[in-house]
Order: sequence, then C-alpha cells, then structure tokens
Amino acid sequence: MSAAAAPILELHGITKMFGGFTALSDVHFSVEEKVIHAVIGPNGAGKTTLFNVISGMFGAEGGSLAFKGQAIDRIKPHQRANMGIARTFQNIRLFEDLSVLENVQVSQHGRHFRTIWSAVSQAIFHAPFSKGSQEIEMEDYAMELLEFLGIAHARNTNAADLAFGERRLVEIARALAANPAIMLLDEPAAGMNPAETENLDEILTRLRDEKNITILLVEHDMNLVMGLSDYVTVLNFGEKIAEGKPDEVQNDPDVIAAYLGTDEEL
Amino acid sequence: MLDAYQESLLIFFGINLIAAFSFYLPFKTGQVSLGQAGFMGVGAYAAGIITTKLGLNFPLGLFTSAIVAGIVGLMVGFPALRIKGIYLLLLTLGFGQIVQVVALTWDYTGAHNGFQSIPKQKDVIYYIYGVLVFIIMFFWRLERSSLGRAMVAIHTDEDAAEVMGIDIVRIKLFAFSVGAAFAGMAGCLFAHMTTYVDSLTFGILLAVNILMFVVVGGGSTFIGPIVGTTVLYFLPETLRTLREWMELVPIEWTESSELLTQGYDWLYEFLDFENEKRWIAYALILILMMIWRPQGLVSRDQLKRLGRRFVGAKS
Ligand SMILES: Nc1ncnc2c1ncn2[C@@H]1O[C@H](COP(=O)(O)OP(=O)(O)OP(=O)(O)O)[C@@H](O)[C@H]1O
Ligand SMILES: [Mg+2]
Repeated sequence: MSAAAAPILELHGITKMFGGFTALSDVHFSVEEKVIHAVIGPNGAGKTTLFNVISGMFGAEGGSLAFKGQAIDRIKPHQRANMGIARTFQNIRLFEDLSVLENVQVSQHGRHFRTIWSAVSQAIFHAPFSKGSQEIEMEDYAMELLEFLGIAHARNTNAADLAFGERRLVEIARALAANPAIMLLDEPAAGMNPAETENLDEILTRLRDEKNITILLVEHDMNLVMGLSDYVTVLNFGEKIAEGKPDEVQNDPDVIAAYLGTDEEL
Repeated sequence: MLDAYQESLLIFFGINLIAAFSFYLPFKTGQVSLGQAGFMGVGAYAAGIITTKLGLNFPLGLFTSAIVAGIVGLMVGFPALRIKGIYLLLLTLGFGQIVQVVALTWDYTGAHNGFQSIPKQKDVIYYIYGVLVFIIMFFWRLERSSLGRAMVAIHTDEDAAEVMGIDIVRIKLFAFSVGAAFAGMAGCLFAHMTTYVDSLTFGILLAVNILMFVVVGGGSTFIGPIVGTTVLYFLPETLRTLREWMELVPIEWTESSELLTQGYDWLYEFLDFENEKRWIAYALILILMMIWRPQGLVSRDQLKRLGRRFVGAKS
C-alpha cells in the first residue's frame, strides 16, 4: 500500500452510549485501501458496536465517519451499503427461508434497482415465463460468487439447513454480492474447524489481492489475525488502546495487559 | 349455468379472496394489518360517491376506489413504518375504527342510515374475477422477482435487509399502499353487489376474517391466501350439506335394526349445522388446523419441493 493513498474509511472520535454506559469512547482511526485491517479486543470491547455504527444500524452520540473522503453520518444504512460498505454478522443473520442463491441475490437488489419503480417494473412488466436479462445477469453473478467461495453446490438449499461453517461463507457471499469497496467481517472464523479456517484465510487473502476489497476484520482467532492482517487496531472497554503492524501490537504492553486474565491468547 | 345461489357464493368468495390478497401483500414485508376492512370501507364509499352521487359509470368507480384507498394506505403506511407487531395491530385497528366513525357520521353518504341505493352492477362477477386474474398475475411475477426476494428478506430480518442495501421504507410503503388499493377494490365490488353499506359492514370481525384467510392458508406464497380463503369460506357451506349427504343413505339400511335407526336419528340431529353449531364447528376446525399446521396449509418450501419432484432438478 502506498502511504499517499487517501484512507477509504476514517473514524473521528466515535462515541456510542447505551443509556449511561459508554460502549465506544472517542475512537479514532483510519483504514487504508486494499488492506486487511483487524480490530481486536477482549469480549465486550465494543467491536460489534463499532461495526453497527459504521454500517449505520446505530447512530453515534459523537464523532463522525468518512467513507472515501465523504462524511456519511447522515446517510441511511441501505445507502451506505449501496455506496460500497458491506458487512457480515457475528451471530449469523441469514434470511432463513430463502435459498443460498436467493440470500446472495438479495444484496444485489439495491444496486440493480435504485428506485421502487424500477424494481416494480422489473417484477411485473415482462413476459410471464421468462426470467428477463437482468434476472439472469444477477443469477450468473451470484453463482460466480458462490463458486468463488466453494459453496455453489448448496445454491438451492435453504439457509436454515446449512452446516455452520457454510453459513459463515454464505454471510460473506451475501456481503460480496453488494460489490463492496470495504467489507466488515464480524468474527468470520467463529465456530469453524481448522480446515475451514485455513480455507477462510485463503479466501480473505484473495478478496484483498484479486478483488481489491478492503477488509475490516473482527476476529478472536489470533493465529488468523496475526498471519493475515496488514494492520491492527486494538479496543478495550470502548477505547482504542493500540494500533500498528501485527508484531508491534502483539508486543505492546497495554495490549498484553488488556488480554491478561482473559482466556484468549495473543 | 350457475343458479343465483351458486353465483352469489362465487361473488362473495371472489371478494373475500381479493381482501385476503390485500392483507397478504403488506404481510409479505412483515406488516400485519387489521385495517383491511377499513380500506374496504374507504373503497366502497369512494366508489359509491362516484356511481351513486355523481352518476358516473362503474369502471370509473372501481378505479377511484383503488386510487383513494391506495392514497389513504400511503398515509396510514407512514406511521406504520416505525412500529411493529402488536402496536401495528393497534394502529391499523384504530384506523378501521376511524373509518367506521366517519361512515356513521358523514351526512353526505347517509350517516347512520347507511349508504343507500348504490346501483347494482349486474355483471359484477366478471369484474371480480378480472381483478383477481390481474392480482394473481401480479403476485406470480412478484414472487419470481428481485423485489419479491427483497420482501421476504424484510419479513425475515428487517435490519439485516437494510444493511444489505434494501430500501425498506419504500418497499414497505409500496406494499402497504398497494395492499390498501386491493382492499379498496374489494369494498367497491362488495358495495355494488349488495347496493347498501353502512358503518357496520366493514368492522373488526371482517378484518379478523381477512387475517385468518392468510394465516390459515399460509403467508409464504400467494397460493396460501387462495387455499385459506377457499377452505374457510366453503367450510361452513360444506358443513351445511352434511345432512344432505346423510339423506342419500337408503332407508332400508337403517331400518334393519333398532340401534341403527337410533344412531342415524342421533347423527342427523347432531349435524344440524344451520345455526350456532356451524360456527362452533368452524371455530374448532380452525383451532385444530392451527395446531396441526401453525405455518399455514401451504408453504413456499413445500411447493418448491413439489416443483422439483415433478419438473426434475432444474438449476
Ligand atoms: N444494543 C445494546 N444495548 C445495550 N448494550 C449493548 C448493546 N450492544 C452492545 N452493548 C454492550 O456494549 C458493550 C460492547 O459490546 P460489543 O458487542 O460491541 O462487544 P464486542 O467487542 O463485539 O464483544 P465480543 O467479542 O464478545 O463480540 C458490551 O458491554 C455490551 O453489553
Ligand atoms: Mg462482537
């Protein structure tokens, strides 16, 4: 990465309160383009809350966010997604009644149909027994992503009926289908076995190197994080306590102290 | 062809089915409305004004009922966006009551005397089934489209759908408003069949019935409301005919023993489904059906599996 390139995402003093409880306190950092940037920290540090603020699910009490240099604080969640910010959920939230393929297609919708009228007319105004070129195009692209992630065989299976590791991959496929510039992945390896984790490692590397996608990664698996990340930001009790290259962060006394007494290993 | 009784059965079945579809569309986006009877009232009165007061033709009345109910739907849909579950039920219920109060007090349309002498539309059955063909084609297309998938996504997990780039506000408003327009047409068709409507015609009982059509049939495919309305609408009628079936049993069979005669008489007496008993039986069947299939009689999943079995595994 070149130092001159503008950061794709900038957080300026983000503060998030739940009642009297401060979940994020004046969090500052920038995410450079086309890198894997990890956000780590013990349980309850505020990582998921941070993702919720970036994706627009939560409004923040203080601070501001910029995406590609543009302030996005007042932009609605679905518009942020269509601008190129996609995410997955720690507690997998697939559309259980839809098939794998349909799950992926859902996040193509906003990009293909900017207005409700274009969506309605695509739905009703063409020959009843044909799919229409747009539908075929969407399906082909979704299949391409499923193949990329190695889950094309499950395309017609309902999301609810998948094995756990595959469900995590569908989450990633669904986020990818929105054609994001940046993906927020919330513990994508949680619940995966070593082989699945290895596969995930390769997938994330390819997303960065082949598809040029920036990845903001929350993950507890330190082997994965330290091996994969270009840069790491550490949160504890809602505050940023360190940032830097993986090896710098691993040897930071504040970080070691934060993890001391937790059952996690750095 | 059809006798008058059969024709009226088909007419009211068709109107009920349109009403069921009017509930089903917002339900696809997770909005449960007890206001569909109210929207029927709006459509009935709007169309009644066009045909009865202004003396214009019925098709214009039908068109107006859809437009006016759709606009009112948009107005109710806005506050409905912010609330969910039981609160949405209460809001739409309140809307239905407002419609009833307006109908009861608006002198122009007869207030408490009801809206009288609405011209009877002789060929209303053709309009009803014409509207139904249109609505069914609409759903048939919708449920194979991107918009249809987006609606299911909203129904399953609204917040997740939103961060996947779905404009949930527009889609929910669209569904609510078009659903209201369907209900408005049902009300217009009803009024021009019965020639009289008043504040009690479109009450809470009707609203609950409309909801039941969809809940019993299943809310994940448009086949659901069709099955639900068919079962619930024709069930009471079928119960009534049970006695007629009994009468087909030759008398010699039952006279052969004292026990059989008594049994026959008892059963004949028991199957007196002309009155309250019919509704008790109806309620029991409803409860049993909800225990047996709480997700409704048909589901999208079932149909997909059936489809795959018969068509073969298409990609
Ligand atoms: N919606 C909410 N309402 C109230 N408190 C919340 C809410 N969401 C999170 N919190 C609190 O904010 C704090 C940070 O939670 P968050 O989920 O962001 O942590 P995390 O870093 O993702 O932890 P984990 O590693 O366990 O996923 C926790 O104390 C949590 O209880
Ligand atoms: Mg978390």
